[in-house]
Amino acid sequence: MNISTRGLDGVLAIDIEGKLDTTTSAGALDVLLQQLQGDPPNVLINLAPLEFVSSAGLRVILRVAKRVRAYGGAMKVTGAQGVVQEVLEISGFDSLLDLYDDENQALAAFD
Amino acid sequence: MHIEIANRLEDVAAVVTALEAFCENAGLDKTVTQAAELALDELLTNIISYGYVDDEPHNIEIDLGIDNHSLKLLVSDDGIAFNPFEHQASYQAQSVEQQQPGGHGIRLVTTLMDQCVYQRTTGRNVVTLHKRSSA
Repeated sequence: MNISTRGLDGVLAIDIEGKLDTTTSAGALDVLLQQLQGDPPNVLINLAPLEFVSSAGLRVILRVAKRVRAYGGAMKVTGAQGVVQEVLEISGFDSLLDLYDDENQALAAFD
Repeated sequence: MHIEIANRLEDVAAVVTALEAFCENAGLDKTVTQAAELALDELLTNIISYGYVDDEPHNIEIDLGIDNHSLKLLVSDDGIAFNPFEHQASYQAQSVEQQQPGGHGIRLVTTLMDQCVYQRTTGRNVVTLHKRSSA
């Protein structure tokens, strides 16, 4: 699991790569919450490089979404595919999160 | 393939690695492997996190096999009697703020696997899962 960040037109883009499961989730949450400190309130989570997510990983995404909103920001999620998209749908997260196919669409949707 | 682990979350990774190798050797497609990986992650995490009322070490047994063109997973533990398939989350939150952590794991398992059976046998919870290979 690897997490990296990019600045995109004033939005903090976070790429999550690999697996977000029971083994990696605690470490991932620490890194993500650290990345959010002092950064712009709007966040784009790129799940395109994510191969796998379990419910432990969903909890991480939920924690980040709550944190971003608590600080007055918006969070968009892009690039979910395959089993990751399937897990988001089964859990109902597809209707809770702001999901987009690609980054340009997501960026355009920030106010 | 038979695997035994202790009731520690850090042992889950070894089971996932063994599962991946087993599925690759058996020539199973990615969809089957990922569904099984998710199921094992969810079941083992639930057992280890909520299955025991003491702080003693316990063993969890996992069997992987191919049964009539299906991947068969069996997970057995000596934790408190608990049928996970009777405890699926039915509540659907309407917003991120309402959404509570947890409760999705078993729904993911029952949706992604083809058959999920629970039995309580000689003091152990035994969950048997099947996933058909489309290959």
